[in-house]
Amino acid sequence: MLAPNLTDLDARVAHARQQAGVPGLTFAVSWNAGSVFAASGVLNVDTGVEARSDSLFQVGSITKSLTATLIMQAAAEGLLDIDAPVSRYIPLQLGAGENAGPFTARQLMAHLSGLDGDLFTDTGRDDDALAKYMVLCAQLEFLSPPGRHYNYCNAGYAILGRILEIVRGKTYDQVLRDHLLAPLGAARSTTFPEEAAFARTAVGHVTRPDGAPVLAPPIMLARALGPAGFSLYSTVEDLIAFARAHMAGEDPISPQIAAAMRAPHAELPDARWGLGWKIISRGGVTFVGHDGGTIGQSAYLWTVPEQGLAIAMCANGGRAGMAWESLAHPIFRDACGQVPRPSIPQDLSEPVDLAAFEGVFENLGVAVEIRAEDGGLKAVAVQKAFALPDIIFHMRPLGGGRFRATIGDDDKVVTAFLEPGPDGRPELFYAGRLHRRVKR
Amino acid sequence: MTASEAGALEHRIAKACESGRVCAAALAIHADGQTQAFAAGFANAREDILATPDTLFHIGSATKAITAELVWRLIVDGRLTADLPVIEAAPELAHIATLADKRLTIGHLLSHTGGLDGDVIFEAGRGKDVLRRFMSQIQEIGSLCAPGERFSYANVGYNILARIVELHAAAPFEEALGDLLRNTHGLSQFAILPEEKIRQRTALLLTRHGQEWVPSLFGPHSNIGSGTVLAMSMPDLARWGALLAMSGEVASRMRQPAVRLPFNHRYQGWGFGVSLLDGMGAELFGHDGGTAGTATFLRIAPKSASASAWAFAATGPDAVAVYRDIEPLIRETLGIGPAPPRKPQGAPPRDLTPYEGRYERHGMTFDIQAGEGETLLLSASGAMASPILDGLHLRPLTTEVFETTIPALDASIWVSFHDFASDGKPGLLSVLERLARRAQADVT
Repeated sequence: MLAPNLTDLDARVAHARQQAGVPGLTFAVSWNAGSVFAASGVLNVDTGVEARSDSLFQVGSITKSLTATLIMQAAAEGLLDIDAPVSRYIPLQLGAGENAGPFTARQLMAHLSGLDGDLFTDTGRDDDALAKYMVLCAQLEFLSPPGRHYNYCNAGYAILGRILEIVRGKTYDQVLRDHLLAPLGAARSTTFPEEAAFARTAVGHVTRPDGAPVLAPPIMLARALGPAGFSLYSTVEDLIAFARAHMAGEDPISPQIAAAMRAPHAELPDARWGLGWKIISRGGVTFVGHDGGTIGQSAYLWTVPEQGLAIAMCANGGRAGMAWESLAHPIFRDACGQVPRPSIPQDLSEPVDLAAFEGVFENLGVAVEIRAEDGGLKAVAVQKAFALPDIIFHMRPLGGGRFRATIGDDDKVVTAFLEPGPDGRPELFYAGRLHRRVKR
Repeated sequence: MTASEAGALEHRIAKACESGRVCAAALAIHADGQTQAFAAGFANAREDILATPDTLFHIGSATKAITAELVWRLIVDGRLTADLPVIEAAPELAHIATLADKRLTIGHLLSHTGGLDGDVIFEAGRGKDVLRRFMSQIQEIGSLCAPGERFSYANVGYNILARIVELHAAAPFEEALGDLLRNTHGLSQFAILPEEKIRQRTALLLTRHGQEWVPSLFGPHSNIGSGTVLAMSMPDLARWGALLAMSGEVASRMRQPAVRLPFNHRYQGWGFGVSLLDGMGAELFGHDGGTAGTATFLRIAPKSASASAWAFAATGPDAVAVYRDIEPLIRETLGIGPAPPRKPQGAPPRDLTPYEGRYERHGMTFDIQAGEGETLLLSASGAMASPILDGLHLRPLTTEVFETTIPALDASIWVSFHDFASDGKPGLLSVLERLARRAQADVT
């Protein structure tokens, strides 16, 4: 592709940051011939230390793409079979309940295990954190039989991290360093806060009612969930290095690994999932990427592999999604005429029996109460794992058990009801996760 | 403090940083209920992050005074006593003979008079049970002399105290420490876990390699009680000192003299948690701290109506010298007289031969032989020996005290000899507040 139009990128980044109320932001664009980087704002409103394009941010679940890559490398070396039952590598009964069954590393990478995965118990900061967490995973319930439904699963990525520890004989953190970060030259990225403290490192912010950003409360950094995204501090420069290696199939990521990971494995109402990547197809263009978020920080890494285009952004608060769309979407649109936003069908006009969908739905992370209201459904999602406010939203029917919901300012999601549960009533798929009906 | 006094102090600190003697420096003076603070240099020279008055420094062993406060609060609350045997406060230490000795008390650990040998520092993990794990891995702790006999600085004693706090406060030490500083004292400019250090400006532990500042790794979490972990701003450290001084029984018992140190060039004595300076601690007490790359000095003057205190920290090899330069000015500013001169009493020995021989402590061997002129030559070796102590020339001042210059620190220190046998041979050598015992094969 031609070089994207990046005139005044610094000014555009500063403007988008201010418009979105983001304290500090880093942004990077890479295409076949080169990369450009920009930064604006501060890493911490208390200290006023300025962001630079090599500043560290928590990149959250983007880590899952790295973890999946590490699994594929180990498989390519013959250390594991991604289609073998995970019990071959972890000699524990992982998961329980009526839907229990053997599951594979491939299913974990594509969020197809069916495990209820938002288990955020901190098992400590020591090298045995993942091993200890596996014992807790014995109690996880299968919300659906392995292989049947997509269900975004953090615990599944912890299990993948533990498999890496077992087949490589070292900690997940060391595997990540030795097999990805070091070969990519991503020297600043680290999973240890004692190393991040030596660099310019962003702190997450939340927005006060008066609109001012303040430091987010100290968040749990459970090392056990490091492979799912709780530990990694990285930079847009390092994320771009990772994306470029994937797109080019260059060391340390072979073309076979890269191709296998972006092959669709799971269908969502509005996207597909590969191995460690989300896939969005729009107008003949395929976007491959991953988003990440911790409390107070957001990160984005999206690519158009056919064009060798990659864009990464890290932000430490405010309306990060708005900043991302205003910065990245024009560049994607210039390059390929499309943007990586799921396509959402129009609202359905014919009547729907809304009462069938009412009830209370739950998984480990949230409890969602749904009631019919004004020709749609009203949902109240209570956060069980974190002390965060309830999320209240309305859903409009799209037909086929699907609904459209708008949550917050910039987050459009499609919510779906799946096949009937044991009681003959549909189960809820929301925020990428399955929820069991617990009450009529 | 007048504006010109404040200006003079600020200028001295800025000059020390500009001249490259230190990378970052910060000073806070707390007097009459007010805290004034100055800073200069780079909290992080590699990343161009400037030091500010609220920058956190790794305060090293100054942490011990805070560990001691936690112990004394348990004592004042009646949950421990100072003369309780360590083995009764922490029965899990029964596997280590030296620590299972019923004569060894909590008071001995607080005052470094337990005779403990083996300043073990190692990484036992990062988790909340790190101290329990550390305790299960310190079998090598030995004894240099009977408990209560002599002063010999022991980091490991403070880590054992931290474990005792944990066992009797029913919370991991890192939480008990944070709770004391945040909730009891109302301080906020400190960090214990590294993720907390990221949230504030934290001065890095730096060492100089040629023209480059190279960060040293954080100290191991497992030695948190002796001072490898806590980072604090100088204003908060000075405020803590003043709050301690006004805390009544805890402070008066901490600075009660446990031992006089007539053979030490720095300290008049040691209390139960602090070093004693002017007036055997009645006028000035405090604690020094040194971690890789950072030196910290806390001084507390308990006499004034609201207690005054100052805290200084700097990163870089000249940190100690910079503090020595500005201390007289700080004393003058606060109306505290100059540091009392230290001069050992007595005449130099006529014969240096009895001093020769080998002295040992865990991981260190000191060989003493005749040097040029009327001096002794000290060679240091062993896995835990500091290379800066190797090749020192000892000049006799008295029978017990010898003076020497450590070229690496550009500092003059005293070393001392004790426990003289009838043939005039000393049984113990003290270097930098730590004892070494004459090797068994050397005893005739």
